[in-house]
Amino acid sequence: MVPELPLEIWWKILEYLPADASLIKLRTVNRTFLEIARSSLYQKLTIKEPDLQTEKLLRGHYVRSVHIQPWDIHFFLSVPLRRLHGRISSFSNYVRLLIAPGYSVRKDIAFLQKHLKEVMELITDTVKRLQHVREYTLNAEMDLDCDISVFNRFSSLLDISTFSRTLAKVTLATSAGTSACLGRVHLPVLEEFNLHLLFRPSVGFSDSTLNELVGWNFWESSHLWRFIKLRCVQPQSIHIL
Amino acid sequence: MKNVGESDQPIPLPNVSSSVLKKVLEYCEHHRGEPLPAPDADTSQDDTRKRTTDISEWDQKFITVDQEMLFEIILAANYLDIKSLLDVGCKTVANMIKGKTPEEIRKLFNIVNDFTPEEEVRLLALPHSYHQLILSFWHHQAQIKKENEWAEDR
Repeated sequence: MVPELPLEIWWKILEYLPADASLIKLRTVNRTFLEIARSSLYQKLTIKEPDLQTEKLLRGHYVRSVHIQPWDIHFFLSVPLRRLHGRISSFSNYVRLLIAPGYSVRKDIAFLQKHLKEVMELITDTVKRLQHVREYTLNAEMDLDCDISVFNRFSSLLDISTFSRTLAKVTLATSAGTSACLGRVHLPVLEEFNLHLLFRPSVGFSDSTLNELVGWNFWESSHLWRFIKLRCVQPQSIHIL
Repeated sequence: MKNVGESDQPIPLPNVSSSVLKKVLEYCEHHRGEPLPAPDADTSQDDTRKRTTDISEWDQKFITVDQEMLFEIILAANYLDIKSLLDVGCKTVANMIKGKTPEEIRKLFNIVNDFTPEEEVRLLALPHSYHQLILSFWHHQAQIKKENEWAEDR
């Protein structure tokens, strides 16, 4: 008679399968396989293009790391704007454009603000449900010209105590010389903090910039963070470990 | 057998039959002197997923046994904490799973489907993962791009 394998062995076996179609297919084998597949599929959550199903789909207790790419979200929201620019949506818009030249821009900004608010609410509600996350990455170093307030909004997710109380690793990546700011947060089990700063070659890096960064009144942790990693692209290269 | 230390006394292995132990010893004999795998080799899920399911030729030949023996070897390797043998066994089962449907997997490993028919239907109807949503978004975005190009042409 073939012996039964314990759950931990099945875990090990399924770890050898790629987290794609093979693993997804396995969820319908039985409840054990479903549990293993879900844990693998939802372990790492990357928020790039949130939509209304984001929250519904999340199995909060499976997620162990959250990666947010704000500029992608910003781009995601900007797509419909470009679409609006491409067409004059109605006769009334056409008339408004003739009598008020700034109307189009104001309308676009209002549209973006409205949707950004909706997305932030969605993501905040989602993050509130994630209570076992060990790692949070906010990667905002892609586009130096993007609205920094988006970064600031996402960094404020650290204020959600149910989310931040289990975080052991936090990585923030942003461009230097912006007005990114971090408030005081409580991270009781923090072990590692990485700060990645991207420097535009044309922007000089001075001692005052460094002092300003290190002077962030950010930490209120029972553990000392192990290192700050300042990374920059050419020509200045700084590593503080 | 770190906990036992050096001893002339026989060590009971109640969970391992003699035929399985013989196989385990054959494996250990062949791999004698090889470096032990790093203890933190599988600490993160992402790392483990990158591991290959390739098995060396000798190991492949060694593990070509019936399913009962295969599972017994895996259980023995787990009990005796022989990581490399456990890996070979798990990789073999993973390779057996690859490309099979859930029904075939159930049959192959004698696994009982413990879902109700309603649960199964509901499960199949759900989007597979967040990744699928992202893919569907990109499809949607490609459509918008096409529409924009169309608008610009006019």
